[in-house]
Amino acid sequence: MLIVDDPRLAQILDMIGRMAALDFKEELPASKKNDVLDAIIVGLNMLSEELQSNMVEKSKLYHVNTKLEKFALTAAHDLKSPINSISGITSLIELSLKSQSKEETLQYVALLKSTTEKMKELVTGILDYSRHSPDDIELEVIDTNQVIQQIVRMDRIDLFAKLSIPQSLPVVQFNKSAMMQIFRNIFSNAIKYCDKQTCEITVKSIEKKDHHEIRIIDNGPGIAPENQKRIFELFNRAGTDADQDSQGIGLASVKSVLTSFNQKIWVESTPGHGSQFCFTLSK
Amino acid sequence: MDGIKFIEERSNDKIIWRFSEDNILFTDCFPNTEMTLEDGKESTRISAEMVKNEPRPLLCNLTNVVKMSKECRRHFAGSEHAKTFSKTALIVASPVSRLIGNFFLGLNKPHKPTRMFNSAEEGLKWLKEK
Repeated sequence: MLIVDDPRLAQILDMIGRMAALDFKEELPASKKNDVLDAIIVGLNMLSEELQSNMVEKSKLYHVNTKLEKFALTAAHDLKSPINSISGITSLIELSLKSQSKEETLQYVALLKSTTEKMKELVTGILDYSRHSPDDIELEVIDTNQVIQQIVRMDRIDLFAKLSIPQSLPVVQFNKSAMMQIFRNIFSNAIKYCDKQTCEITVKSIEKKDHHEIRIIDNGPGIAPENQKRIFELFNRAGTDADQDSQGIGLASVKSVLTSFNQKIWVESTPGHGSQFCFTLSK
Repeated sequence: MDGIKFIEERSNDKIIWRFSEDNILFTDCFPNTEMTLEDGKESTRISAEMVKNEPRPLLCNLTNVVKMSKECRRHFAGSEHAKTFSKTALIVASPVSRLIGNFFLGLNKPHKPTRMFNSAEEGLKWLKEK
């Protein structure tokens, strides 16, 4: 039989009130009488727990949806631009064929090739960015020194920049292709955006308690403080000149890769004094 | 439940597991048991050992359980635990355990046939049905 002045009834009413206000933090203590009121208390506690967990999930989904919407809009917008160019160039080719100007036609075909190449790069970039889900990453023992040497050799970085790379970079548990993607992107950005006669790139490793901090230092134009976070966002072209042809995918991919390994990346820079791209690698 | 011959019995501070000669696993809790995820995982581990990794009918008496965490309910409804049983009879002879059982069946939706009963006899009868 229910006792109307049982203090648990007041607690239950308070709890319902809090839940109505979407406050799911508190849990009611059960008396261990294992009666109907205890059952109501346990039920409310479990409902509250489930509702809170659903709300957290919902908020995560909302965040992901917003990002996906932005991603789809920007990707469509960025793909539309070369498609418009291709459409224009084919009309020009058509006209040049009518006027039988072979030189002009060849010029347009070259332009067509370069535009489709840019489009291919954009699609490849989007694929690289999307590919990195934590589930499909295989960990292996990686010697950072060897990875950098391989990139320098394959991409001939030494032809475009003066490199200063110590031999004492760490050996870590990581994924080789992911690590190559990180260094490749940061090196190629340093070269692409360098405003000096000679591009200089220095790599440093600082040993911390539970991780290594890798720093890639360049002598480029630097990045304004207001752009230092935005450069890691997808399709962000903050601080780049129009003629530098950035698609705003490279650093977003680098961040996505590192985040999937629970690592951090940031940039330290003073405009006019180069940049230091820093990231962590767990020991 | 008289007449059931148990061939193996184990226990910890919260749960007693018994395995009968007709291959039914019985789990029972001590009064006022609060089940956490760790307890759930321990229960799955011991159950798997006792049924020798072959799914068997399970009679799980929840009557003495006064609390079961969300993580524990999800674990019991998940694929790892489902490897240990072919069907489950939940005995819910107290208001709190009945509520926990309802939550478990309604929100967590276990992978294999699971039903609630007010007594072990009714549950056992259903478990023995082909």
